[in-house]
Amino acid sequence: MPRKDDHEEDIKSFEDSLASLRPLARRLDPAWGAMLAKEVELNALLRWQRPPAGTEPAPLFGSGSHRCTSSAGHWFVCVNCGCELPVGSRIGRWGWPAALSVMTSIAAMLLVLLVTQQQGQTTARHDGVDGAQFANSSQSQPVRAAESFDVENQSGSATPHRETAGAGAGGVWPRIVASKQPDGREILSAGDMRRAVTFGSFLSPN
Amino acid sequence: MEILSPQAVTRLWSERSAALVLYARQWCDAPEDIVQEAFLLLARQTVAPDNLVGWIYRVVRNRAINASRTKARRSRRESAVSRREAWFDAGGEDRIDAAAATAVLQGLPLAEREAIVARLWGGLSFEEIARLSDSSLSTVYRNYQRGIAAMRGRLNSSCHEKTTTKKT
Repeated sequence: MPRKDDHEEDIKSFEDSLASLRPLARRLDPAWGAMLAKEVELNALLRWQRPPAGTEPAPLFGSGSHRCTSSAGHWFVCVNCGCELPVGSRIGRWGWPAALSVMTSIAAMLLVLLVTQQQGQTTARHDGVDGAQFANSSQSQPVRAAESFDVENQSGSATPHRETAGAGAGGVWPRIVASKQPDGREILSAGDMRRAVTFGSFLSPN
Repeated sequence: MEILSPQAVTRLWSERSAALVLYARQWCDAPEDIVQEAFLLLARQTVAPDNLVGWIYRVVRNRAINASRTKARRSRRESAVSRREAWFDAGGEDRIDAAAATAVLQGLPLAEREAIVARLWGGLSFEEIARLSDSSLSTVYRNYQRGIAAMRGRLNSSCHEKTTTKKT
Protein backbone atom coordinates (compact mmCIF):
# COMPACT_ATOMS: atom_id res chain seq x y z
CA MET A 1 0.00 0.00 0.00
CA PRO A 2 1.57 3.32 -1.02
CA ARG A 3 2.31 5.69 1.82
CA LYS A 4 1.38 9.38 1.90
CA ASP A 5 5.06 10.46 1.77
CA ASP A 6 5.63 8.40 -1.36
CA HIS A 7 2.64 10.02 -3.00
CA GLU A 8 3.95 13.51 -2.17
CA GLU A 9 7.37 12.55 -3.47
CA ASP A 10 5.82 11.37 -6.70
CA ILE A 11 3.93 14.63 -7.04
CA LYS A 12 7.09 16.63 -6.33
CA SER A 13 9.02 14.64 -8.87
CA PHE A 14 6.30 15.14 -11.44
CA GLU A 15 6.30 18.89 -10.77
CA ASP A 16 10.06 19.01 -11.24
CA SER A 17 9.74 17.12 -14.51
CA LEU A 18 7.14 19.54 -15.73
CA ALA A 19 9.15 22.57 -14.64
CA SER A 20 12.15 21.24 -16.54
CA LEU A 21 10.26 21.78 -19.77
CA ARG A 22 11.43 25.00 -21.36
CA PRO A 23 8.70 27.31 -22.61
CA LEU A 24 9.02 28.03 -26.27
CA ALA A 25 9.31 31.66 -27.36
CA ARG A 26 10.63 31.53 -30.89
CA ARG A 27 9.73 35.04 -31.84
CA LEU A 28 11.36 36.61 -28.82
CA ASP A 29 14.75 38.15 -29.52
CA PRO A 30 17.19 37.75 -26.62
CA ALA A 31 18.96 40.91 -27.73
CA TRP A 32 15.78 42.86 -27.24
CA GLY A 33 16.73 43.13 -23.56
CA ALA A 34 19.59 45.48 -24.49
CA MET A 35 17.16 47.66 -26.40
CA LEU A 36 14.92 47.73 -23.34
CA ALA A 37 17.82 48.89 -21.20
CA LYS A 38 18.44 51.76 -23.60
CA GLU A 39 14.78 52.63 -23.51
CA VAL A 40 14.90 52.83 -19.72
CA GLU A 41 18.01 55.02 -19.83
CA LEU A 42 16.44 57.33 -22.38
CA ASN A 43 13.30 57.68 -20.33
CA ALA A 44 15.39 58.50 -17.29
CA LEU A 45 17.04 61.30 -19.26
CA LEU A 46 13.76 62.76 -20.42
CA ARG A 47 11.95 62.23 -17.17
CA TRP A 48 10.72 65.20 -15.17
CA GLN A 49 10.85 65.05 -11.45
CA ARG A 50 7.79 66.59 -9.88
CA PRO A 51 7.84 67.98 -6.34
CA PRO A 52 5.19 66.70 -3.90
CA ALA A 53 3.08 69.82 -4.41
CA GLY A 54 3.22 69.25 -8.14
CA THR A 55 3.17 72.93 -8.98
CA GLU A 56 6.58 73.67 -10.40
CA PRO A 57 8.10 70.97 -12.58
CA ALA A 58 11.86 71.03 -12.82
CA PRO A 59 14.06 69.11 -15.24
CA LEU A 60 16.09 66.23 -13.93
CA PHE A 61 19.23 68.05 -15.00
CA GLY A 62 17.78 71.34 -13.85
CA SER A 63 20.57 72.81 -11.80
CA GLY A 64 20.74 75.84 -14.08
CA SER A 65 24.15 75.00 -15.47
CA HIS A 66 22.61 73.07 -18.34
CA ARG A 67 20.36 75.93 -19.39
CA CYS A 68 20.96 76.92 -22.99
CA THR A 69 21.85 80.58 -23.47
CA SER A 70 21.14 80.72 -27.17
CA SER A 71 19.50 84.01 -28.10
CA ALA A 72 17.58 82.26 -30.84
CA GLY A 73 15.75 80.24 -28.22
CA HIS A 74 14.03 76.94 -28.86
CA TRP A 75 10.71 75.76 -30.09
CA PHE A 76 10.53 73.18 -27.33
CA VAL A 77 9.87 75.30 -24.28
CA CYS A 78 8.53 75.03 -20.81
CA VAL A 79 4.77 75.48 -20.98
CA ASN A 80 4.74 77.30 -17.65
CA CYS A 81 7.28 80.07 -18.12
CA GLY A 82 7.85 80.11 -21.88
CA CYS A 83 11.27 81.61 -21.30
CA GLU A 84 12.90 79.62 -24.09
CA LEU A 85 10.82 81.18 -26.85
CA PRO A 86 12.75 82.63 -29.80
CA VAL A 87 13.24 86.40 -29.88
CA GLY A 88 10.88 86.79 -32.81
CA SER A 89 8.12 84.99 -30.98
CA ARG A 90 8.77 87.04 -27.86
CA ILE A 91 8.32 90.27 -29.85
CA GLY A 92 5.35 88.90 -31.68
CA ARG A 93 3.67 88.02 -28.44
CA TRP A 94 3.58 91.71 -27.37
CA GLY A 95 2.91 93.07 -30.88
CA TRP A 96 -0.84 93.26 -30.83
CA PRO A 97 -1.21 94.85 -27.36
CA ALA A 98 1.29 97.56 -28.36
CA ALA A 99 -0.55 98.27 -31.61
CA LEU A 100 -3.83 98.44 -29.74
CA SER A 101 -2.41 100.95 -27.22
CA VAL A 102 -1.04 103.20 -29.97
CA MET A 103 -4.30 103.18 -31.89
CA THR A 104 -6.30 103.94 -28.76
CA SER A 105 -4.04 106.88 -27.91
CA ILE A 106 -4.36 108.33 -31.42
CA ALA A 107 -8.13 107.98 -31.32
CA ALA A 108 -8.30 109.73 -27.94
CA MET A 109 -6.13 112.61 -29.20
CA LEU A 110 -8.30 113.06 -32.27
CA LEU A 111 -11.41 113.13 -30.11
CA VAL A 112 -9.94 115.80 -27.82
CA LEU A 113 -8.92 117.89 -30.82
CA LEU A 114 -12.39 117.63 -32.31
CA VAL A 115 -14.13 118.65 -29.07
CA THR A 116 -11.74 121.57 -28.53
CA GLN A 117 -12.28 122.85 -32.03
CA GLN A 118 -16.05 122.63 -31.67
CA GLN A 119 -15.94 124.51 -28.37
CA GLY A 120 -13.77 127.24 -29.92
CA GLN A 121 -16.24 127.78 -32.72
CA THR A 122 -19.19 128.00 -30.33
CA THR A 123 -17.41 130.50 -28.07
CA ALA A 124 -16.45 132.69 -31.02
CA ARG A 125 -20.03 132.77 -32.26
CA HIS A 126 -21.41 133.71 -28.81
CA ASP A 127 -18.77 136.39 -28.41
CA GLY A 128 -19.79 137.91 -31.74
CA VAL A 129 -23.46 138.01 -30.81
CA ASP A 130 -22.93 139.39 -27.30
CA GLY A 131 -20.23 141.94 -28.12
CA ALA A 132 -21.37 143.39 -31.42
CA GLN A 133 -25.13 143.24 -31.36
CA PHE A 134 -25.91 143.69 -27.66
CA ALA A 135 -23.69 146.66 -27.02
CA ASN A 136 -26.69 148.67 -25.93
CA SER A 137 -27.26 148.04 -22.25
CA SER A 138 -30.95 148.32 -22.61
CA GLN A 139 -30.91 145.43 -25.01
CA SER A 140 -28.37 143.24 -23.25
CA GLN A 141 -30.89 141.60 -20.96
CA PRO A 142 -33.51 140.10 -23.16
CA VAL A 143 -34.69 137.58 -20.64
CA ARG A 144 -35.51 140.17 -18.08
CA ALA A 145 -37.17 142.32 -20.68
CA ALA A 146 -39.32 139.44 -21.74
CA GLU A 147 -40.87 139.37 -18.31
CA SER A 148 -43.25 142.03 -19.47
CA PHE A 149 -45.02 139.51 -21.59
CA ASP A 150 -48.29 138.25 -20.40
CA VAL A 151 -47.43 134.95 -18.85
CA GLU A 152 -50.34 134.44 -16.49
CA ASN A 153 -51.80 131.91 -18.83
CA GLN A 154 -48.62 129.86 -18.68
CA SER A 155 -48.36 129.61 -14.88
CA GLY A 156 -48.70 126.15 -13.45
CA SER A 157 -46.90 124.50 -16.32
CA ALA A 158 -44.02 122.46 -15.04
CA THR A 159 -42.19 121.97 -18.28
CA PRO A 160 -40.70 124.73 -20.36
CA HIS A 161 -42.44 125.32 -23.64
CA ARG A 162 -42.31 127.72 -26.52
CA GLU A 163 -44.88 130.45 -26.69
CA THR A 164 -45.61 132.77 -29.48
CA ALA A 165 -46.18 136.53 -29.19
CA GLY A 166 -46.14 138.91 -32.04
CA ALA A 167 -47.98 141.13 -34.27
CA GLY A 168 -51.23 139.33 -33.84
CA ALA A 169 -51.04 139.37 -30.04
CA GLY A 170 -51.42 142.83 -28.59
CA GLY A 171 -49.73 144.57 -31.46
CA VAL A 172 -46.20 143.45 -30.43
CA TRP A 173 -43.76 143.39 -33.28
CA PRO A 174 -41.68 141.48 -34.30
CA ARG A 175 -43.02 138.03 -33.70
CA ILE A 176 -41.03 136.57 -30.79
CA VAL A 177 -40.66 132.98 -29.93
CA ALA A 178 -39.60 132.40 -26.34
CA SER A 179 -39.07 129.43 -24.12
CA LYS A 180 -40.57 129.74 -20.71
CA GLN A 181 -38.84 128.15 -17.75
CA PRO A 182 -40.69 126.78 -14.69
CA ASP A 183 -39.34 129.64 -12.54
CA GLY A 184 -40.89 132.20 -14.80
CA ARG A 185 -37.84 133.23 -16.80
CA GLU A 186 -38.00 133.15 -20.55
CA ILE A 187 -35.22 132.33 -22.92
CA LEU A 188 -35.20 133.81 -26.36
CA SER A 189 -33.76 132.03 -29.31
CA ALA A 190 -30.91 133.47 -31.34
CA GLY A 191 -33.26 134.18 -34.24
CA ASP A 192 -35.58 136.14 -32.01
CA MET A 193 -32.68 138.22 -30.71
CA ARG A 194 -31.47 138.88 -34.20
CA ARG A 195 -34.87 140.09 -35.22
CA ALA A 196 -35.14 142.19 -32.11
CA VAL A 197 -31.82 143.83 -32.91
CA THR A 198 -32.91 144.41 -36.47
CA PHE A 199 -36.17 146.03 -35.48
CA GLY A 200 -34.85 147.82 -32.43
CA SER A 201 -36.67 146.66 -29.33
CA PHE A 202 -38.86 143.65 -29.32
CA LEU A 203 -40.84 144.98 -26.43
CA SER A 204 -42.20 147.86 -28.24
CA PRO A 205 -42.33 148.37 -31.95
CA ASN A 206 -42.35 152.09 -31.31
CA MET B 1 9.87 55.36 -4.53
CA GLU B 2 12.59 53.48 -6.36
CA ILE B 3 13.87 54.45 -9.77
CA LEU B 4 13.72 51.69 -12.34
CA SER B 5 17.19 50.58 -13.38
CA PRO B 6 18.06 49.31 -16.87
CA GLN B 7 19.83 46.32 -15.33
CA ALA B 8 16.71 45.20 -13.51
CA VAL B 9 14.66 45.35 -16.70
CA THR B 10 17.28 43.46 -18.68
CA ARG B 11 17.54 40.78 -16.01
CA LEU B 12 13.78 40.45 -15.84
CA TRP B 13 13.65 40.10 -19.61
CA SER B 14 16.29 37.39 -19.79
CA GLU B 15 14.90 35.41 -16.87
CA ARG B 16 11.15 35.74 -17.22
CA SER B 17 10.24 36.53 -20.80
CA ALA B 18 9.83 32.89 -21.93
CA ALA B 19 7.68 32.01 -18.93
CA LEU B 20 5.63 35.14 -19.51
CA VAL B 21 5.08 34.08 -23.11
CA LEU B 22 3.79 30.70 -21.89
CA TYR B 23 1.57 32.46 -19.37
CA ALA B 24 0.12 34.81 -21.99
CA ARG B 25 -0.41 31.86 -24.31
CA GLN B 26 -3.20 30.64 -22.03
CA TRP B 27 -5.41 33.37 -23.45
CA CYS B 28 -4.09 34.58 -26.78
CA ASP B 29 -2.32 33.47 -29.95
CA ALA B 30 0.31 36.21 -30.11
CA PRO B 31 1.88 36.03 -26.65
CA GLU B 32 5.24 37.42 -27.76
CA ASP B 33 3.66 40.70 -28.76
CA ILE B 34 1.87 40.91 -25.44
CA VAL B 35 5.06 40.32 -23.48
CA GLN B 36 7.02 42.88 -25.50
CA GLU B 37 4.31 45.47 -24.99
CA ALA B 38 4.33 44.78 -21.27
CA PHE B 39 8.09 45.23 -21.08
CA LEU B 40 7.91 48.46 -23.06
CA LEU B 41 5.30 49.69 -20.63
CA LEU B 42 7.59 48.77 -17.77
CA ALA B 43 10.50 50.63 -19.37
CA ARG B 44 8.40 53.79 -19.53
CA GLN B 45 7.42 53.71 -15.87
CA THR B 46 8.53 56.68 -13.80
CA VAL B 47 9.19 54.62 -10.69
CA ALA B 48 9.75 50.93 -10.27
CA PRO B 49 6.68 48.94 -9.15
CA ASP B 50 6.81 47.49 -5.66
CA ASN B 51 6.59 43.92 -6.87
CA LEU B 52 8.25 43.94 -10.26
CA VAL B 53 7.45 40.31 -11.15
CA GLY B 54 3.88 40.56 -9.95
CA TRP B 55 3.42 43.81 -11.86
CA ILE B 56 4.67 42.39 -15.16
CA TYR B 57 2.54 39.26 -14.76
CA ARG B 58 -0.50 41.41 -14.06
CA VAL B 59 0.09 43.53 -17.16
CA VAL B 60 0.65 40.49 -19.34
CA ARG B 61 -2.50 38.84 -18.00
CA ASN B 62 -4.69 41.90 -18.59
CA ARG B 63 -3.37 42.43 -22.08
CA ALA B 64 -3.65 38.76 -22.99
CA ILE B 65 -7.26 38.68 -21.83
CA ASN B 66 -8.00 41.80 -23.89
CA ALA B 67 -6.32 40.20 -26.89
CA SER B 68 -8.35 37.04 -26.43
CA ARG B 69 -11.56 39.10 -26.47
CA THR B 70 -10.46 40.60 -29.76
CA LYS B 71 -9.53 37.19 -31.04
CA ALA B 72 -12.96 35.81 -30.22
CA ARG B 73 -14.29 37.78 -33.14
CA ARG B 74 -12.07 35.90 -35.56
CA SER B 75 -12.98 32.72 -37.32
CA ARG B 76 -12.91 29.33 -35.67
CA ARG B 77 -10.48 28.08 -38.27
CA GLU B 78 -7.76 30.52 -37.23
CA SER B 79 -7.97 29.48 -33.60
CA ALA B 80 -7.84 25.83 -34.54
CA VAL B 81 -4.62 26.43 -36.46
CA SER B 82 -3.06 28.36 -33.60
CA ARG B 83 -3.79 25.57 -31.13
CA ARG B 84 -1.36 23.30 -32.90
CA GLU B 85 1.58 25.52 -32.01
CA ALA B 86 4.07 23.94 -29.60
CA TRP B 87 4.30 25.44 -26.13
CA PHE B 88 7.54 23.82 -25.02
CA ASP B 89 10.96 23.26 -26.51
CA ALA B 90 11.23 19.64 -27.62
CA GLY B 91 14.98 19.67 -28.11
CA GLY B 92 16.05 18.95 -24.51
CA GLU B 93 16.38 15.63 -22.74
CA ASP B 94 13.25 16.04 -20.72
CA ARG B 95 11.56 13.22 -18.86
CA ILE B 96 8.20 14.33 -20.16
CA ASP B 97 7.38 14.60 -23.81
CA ALA B 98 6.92 18.29 -24.73
CA ALA B 99 4.13 17.68 -27.24
CA ALA B 100 2.23 15.44 -24.82
CA ALA B 101 2.63 17.97 -22.02
CA THR B 102 1.34 20.69 -24.31
CA ALA B 103 -1.66 18.61 -25.30
CA VAL B 104 -2.52 17.71 -21.72
CA LEU B 105 -2.02 21.25 -20.52
CA GLN B 106 -4.27 22.58 -23.25
CA GLY B 107 -6.98 20.17 -22.13
CA LEU B 108 -7.13 21.57 -18.61
CA PRO B 109 -9.61 24.22 -17.52
CA LEU B 110 -8.26 27.75 -17.67
CA ALA B 111 -8.14 28.33 -13.91
CA GLU B 112 -6.11 25.14 -13.32
CA ARG B 113 -3.87 25.83 -16.28
CA GLU B 114 -3.17 29.38 -15.14
CA ALA B 115 -2.27 28.25 -11.63
CA ILE B 116 0.09 25.55 -12.92
CA VAL B 117 1.85 27.77 -15.44
CA ALA B 118 2.25 30.66 -13.00
CA ARG B 119 3.52 28.33 -10.27
CA LEU B 120 5.81 25.98 -12.19
CA TRP B 121 7.26 28.16 -14.94
CA GLY B 122 6.55 31.61 -13.55
CA GLY B 123 7.89 30.77 -10.10
CA LEU B 124 5.14 32.72 -8.35
CA SER B 125 3.91 31.85 -4.90
CA PHE B 126 0.31 30.83 -4.31
CA GLU B 127 -0.36 34.21 -2.65
CA GLU B 128 0.92 36.04 -5.72
CA ILE B 129 -1.17 33.87 -8.02
CA ALA B 130 -4.24 34.53 -5.89
CA ARG B 131 -3.65 38.28 -6.10
CA LEU B 132 -3.03 38.01 -9.81
CA SER B 133 -6.20 36.08 -10.59
CA ASP B 134 -8.36 37.91 -8.04
CA SER B 135 -9.30 34.73 -6.24
CA SER B 136 -8.71 33.24 -2.82
CA LEU B 137 -5.58 31.39 -1.79
CA SER B 138 -7.48 28.15 -1.14
CA THR B 139 -9.12 28.29 -4.56
CA VAL B 140 -5.78 28.73 -6.28
CA TYR B 141 -4.21 25.91 -4.29
CA ARG B 142 -7.16 23.60 -5.03
CA ASN B 143 -7.01 24.43 -8.74
CA TYR B 144 -3.29 23.74 -8.80
CA GLN B 145 -3.57 20.40 -7.04
CA ARG B 146 -6.44 19.30 -9.23
CA GLY B 147 -4.63 20.31 -12.39
CA ILE B 148 -1.40 18.56 -11.43
CA ALA B 149 -3.28 15.40 -10.58
CA ALA B 150 -5.11 15.49 -13.90
CA MET B 151 -1.91 16.08 -15.84
CA ARG B 152 -0.11 13.34 -14.03
CA GLY B 153 -2.87 10.87 -14.66
CA ARG B 154 -3.14 11.71 -18.35
CA LEU B 155 0.60 11.80 -18.98
CA ASN B 156 1.13 8.46 -17.19
CA SER B 157 -1.66 6.84 -19.17
CA SER B 158 -0.27 8.20 -22.44
CA CYS B 159 3.20 6.88 -21.53
CA HIS B 160 1.68 3.50 -20.66
CA GLU B 161 -0.15 3.42 -23.99
CA LYS B 162 3.06 4.22 -25.85
CA THR B 163 4.93 1.46 -24.01
CA THR B 164 2.30 -1.16 -24.79
CA THR B 165 2.18 -0.06 -28.42
CA LYS B 166 5.95 -0.49 -28.70
CA LYS B 167 5.85 -3.97 -27.08
CA THR B 168 3.17 -5.21 -29.44
